[in-house]
Amino acid sequence: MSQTTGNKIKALFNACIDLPYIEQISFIQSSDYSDEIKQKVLRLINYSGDIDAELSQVILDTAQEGLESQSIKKDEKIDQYKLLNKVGEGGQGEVWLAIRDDGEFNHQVAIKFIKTSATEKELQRFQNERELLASLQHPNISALIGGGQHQGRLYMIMEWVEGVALFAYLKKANLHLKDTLKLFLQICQAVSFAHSKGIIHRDIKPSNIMVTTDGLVKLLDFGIAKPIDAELTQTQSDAMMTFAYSSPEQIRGDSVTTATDVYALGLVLYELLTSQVAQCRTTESPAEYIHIITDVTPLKPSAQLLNNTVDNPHFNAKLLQGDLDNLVMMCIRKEIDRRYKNADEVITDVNNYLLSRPLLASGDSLFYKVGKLLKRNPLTSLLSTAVLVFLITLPVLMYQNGVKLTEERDRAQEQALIANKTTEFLSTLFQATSPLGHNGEPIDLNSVMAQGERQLNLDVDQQPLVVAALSTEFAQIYHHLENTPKAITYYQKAIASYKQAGDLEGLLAAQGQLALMYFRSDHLDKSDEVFEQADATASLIRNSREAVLHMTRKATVETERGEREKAAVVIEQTFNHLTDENHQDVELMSRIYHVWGEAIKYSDKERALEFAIKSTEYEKKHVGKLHPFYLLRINSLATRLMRLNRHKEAEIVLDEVLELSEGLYSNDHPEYASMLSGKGGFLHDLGYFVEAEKVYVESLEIYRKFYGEKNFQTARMINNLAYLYEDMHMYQKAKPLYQRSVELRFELDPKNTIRVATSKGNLARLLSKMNEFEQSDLLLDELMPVYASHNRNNLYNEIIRFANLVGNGESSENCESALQKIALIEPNLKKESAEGWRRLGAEVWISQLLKTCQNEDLAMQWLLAAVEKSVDVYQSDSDGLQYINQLLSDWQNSE
Amino acid sequence: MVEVRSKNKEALDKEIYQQLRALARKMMAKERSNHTLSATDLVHEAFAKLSVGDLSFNDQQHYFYTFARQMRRVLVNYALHKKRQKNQAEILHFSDSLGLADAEFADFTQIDQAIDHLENIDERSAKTIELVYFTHLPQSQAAEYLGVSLATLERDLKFGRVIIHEYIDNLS
Repeated sequence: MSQTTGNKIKALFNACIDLPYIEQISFIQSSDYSDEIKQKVLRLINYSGDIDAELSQVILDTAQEGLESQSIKKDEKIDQYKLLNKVGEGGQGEVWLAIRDDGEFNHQVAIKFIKTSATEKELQRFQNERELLASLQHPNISALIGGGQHQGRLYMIMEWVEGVALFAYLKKANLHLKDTLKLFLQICQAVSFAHSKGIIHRDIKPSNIMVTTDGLVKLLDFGIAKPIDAELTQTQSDAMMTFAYSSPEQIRGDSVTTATDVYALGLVLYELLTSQVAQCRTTESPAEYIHIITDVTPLKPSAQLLNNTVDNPHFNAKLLQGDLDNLVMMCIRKEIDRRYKNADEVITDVNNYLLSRPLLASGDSLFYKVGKLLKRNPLTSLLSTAVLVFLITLPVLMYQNGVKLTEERDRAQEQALIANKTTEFLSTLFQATSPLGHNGEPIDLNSVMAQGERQLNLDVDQQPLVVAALSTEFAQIYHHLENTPKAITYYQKAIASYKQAGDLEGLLAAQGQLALMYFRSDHLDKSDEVFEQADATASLIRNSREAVLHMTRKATVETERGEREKAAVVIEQTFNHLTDENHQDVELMSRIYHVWGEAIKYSDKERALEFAIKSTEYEKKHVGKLHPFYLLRINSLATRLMRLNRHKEAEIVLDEVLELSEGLYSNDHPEYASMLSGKGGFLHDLGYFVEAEKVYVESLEIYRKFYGEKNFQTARMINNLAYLYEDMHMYQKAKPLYQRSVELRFELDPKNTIRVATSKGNLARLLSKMNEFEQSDLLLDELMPVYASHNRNNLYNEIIRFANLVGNGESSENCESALQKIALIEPNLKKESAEGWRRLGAEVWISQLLKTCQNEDLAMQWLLAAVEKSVDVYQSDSDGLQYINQLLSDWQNSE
Repeated sequence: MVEVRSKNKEALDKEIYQQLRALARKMMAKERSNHTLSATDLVHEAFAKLSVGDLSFNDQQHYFYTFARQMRRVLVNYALHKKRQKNQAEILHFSDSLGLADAEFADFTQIDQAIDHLENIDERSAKTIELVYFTHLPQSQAAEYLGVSLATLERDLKFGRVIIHEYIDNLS
């Protein structure tokens, strides 16, 4: 039986196919078949035949396409229209050109049919577009004329757009910049109209924008548009998105808003201006795409042009620099709430540009850049966030103030000028030193400041107001850097400039700050002198905001001098004269409540807490949470709560304090130390002495390193540490610390007798406990009159007096007399808080005095009362509680 | 005798078309991605619904041969129809919202020719390709209808694909 050619080919192929390739060749060559067969099989073995998937795909595609093209034919009639020819097809269906066939008009329309095999989702999309378009009658949106169902297929009849796609049009039209922007405005107007109807397009891209021969823009394809307030759960599948024009929020599946369309408009404008897509599309990996869209900020349009990547740029890069760059970049910011809110705002800014007016858009603010930088690098040691935040927010605040004062036009303009000048100055300053240019490198604030100073001193042509504003800022920065001499220098310079400019409010602010600086640096005479000058200035602008602030500064100084009642009077009077406008001023109100609370924190703790809460709330409204000012406020709030023994609440607030301060400061910064010492105080109060010691020592070290020894903060920490050692019965350690505290307070502010006196009171108590009764009494002689003259309660000092009187208990007469006196003050002591350590400490001590006087029953009564209270004062597992329990058990054992 | 046999060609065409329509709708509801679906998937359920289990072996064999061949013919008609339309007017790509498949390996008419070419070389291989690619028969069952072992069927398939591969390659 003779084989056909085909049989032979197959036989030879099958015979060799399982061999390795080389052997296949020699096998074929050495076979008996004809050359024709051999050649054929030699060709065949070069083909793998791995085309299973491809074959299947072609068959499937053909099956599907075939099904689609079955039902619609030329010349069919749809409503009153006759189908002329198919003009388009795609994933969704097909589009036919049709003409009105009832002899009425020669009117052409486009009829869009959905494919027969449409899924539920696609049907939904089609219906959606049909419904939305019905409500969108606008010259720049292709109009819906009708719709229905034909042979089971949904269709819609649309206005026929005789035109070309956007970029095809541009290539031909060769428009000037202005005309290009006007064309863009038409796109925006279509989107704005949709937004006004509550519809977000969600799929704006060049291929959805057509331009008619008359230059009229038509926005197409509202297929995935949706009402603004629609449920967001089922947004869209990947298949419906074109990656390159999708917004970060769409990629992430976040909520879509009108700003999503703004983003796409920005991309279109970018492309119109640069002839280049904003986001690179060279990657094939979806993950990389997602990264680019959500994280990578494109080059500014002008930079894109300068980058030389565009062969034949339509526009010059210089044309785009500044406003247009800013406008585009504002549209395409990754963060939805930092873009224009909707198409209207884009239109406003394009018009602003066309009319050479200032734009809403500005580049990323320094504040934003610094914020981002700080997020990346928690602070380096040289840098204080407070300073930077201050540095940046001040001009912004000034600018906003400038904008607010519209009724006082001249003044507003002047303010705006200063603000702009200041911002400009700071911008160039930052650019010159370029601390922001180097990602990740620490900012050397000193070099920034040095550069700024040079610049300020060089620029002699500056107007006095600008010099004043800048000097004030430098002063503030140095103030925050704790560089008092420099701060003083710049406040003086600011005062001179404000005087020159005749700006009384600025003058008053600078004078007040200078007075505070002098006070804090313990130049009290100078402080008083400048305050007097400031009073004179304030009397000229009695009802101004600045005059109110002046009063708060005065109250602060009184409080810090220990003249709390005076301070309270000053602030209460100020408060009673506040205007409605003042009450709306969150910054001012926060300040007032804070200063007031500080003034009354010993005399009316409940009210002080109330004020602290108010102050904190106002400050949050003023600066938000992650800000040094807010930190200061909630720290006070924590202290107020502690003073009221509301420990649970205090602990919650303290946790927030420490969290914020860790975020804001480096851990060798005095602000951080101050938060730490707050925590130390908290632990101390609850009886956790060992833990408190660590924290106190750490804060003291930071203060010493930063301020040196001669400083109130250092002195305060020394005093607190001494107190802790006293509570731990480590008198030898406590003594030199108390002594040092007294010395420092005297050296720093000899006139502040009450502050020195409280310090001496502590030392007197300790000396008495160390049996140095005479020394203790001498101190009491000095300090008790001071307490009396300041209306301070001498109760605890009197107890020291009795202890000294009892002494070693050798004189029964003295014992008798002391016991009587103790009985006399007992009612007063009972008025003191039962939950405070102060009263507890006094009661334990009294019980020991009674024991010394051998009045053991009474002594035991006092001790038991103290033990009972100690449970409320100290935590159950604390050192404090343990000390007291130890005392009790020692006593019981000795009997 | 059996209903299937008595069906004329037209009725079978209609049935195939209706089944395909329903199935295409169903298949498209699944996420479409290249190389995961095959035409055999497409017709799988059509066969399930036709319940060939009632037919004798010979009838079944005949039925599948006929079905596969008809399927191929219908698809060629689709493809030719599409080609004619394309020549008629320039078709714009209207919307890329749903994306299209990559450039096709070949168009269907080329594959149709390739199968004809294969038939000239080896009829059984061509039949195997038709049964496997245009119906949803499992290979074991296709082997049964063809009266060959599974190994032989696999060899025939391999040979068939290599011939088609080479043929398509020579066309382009």
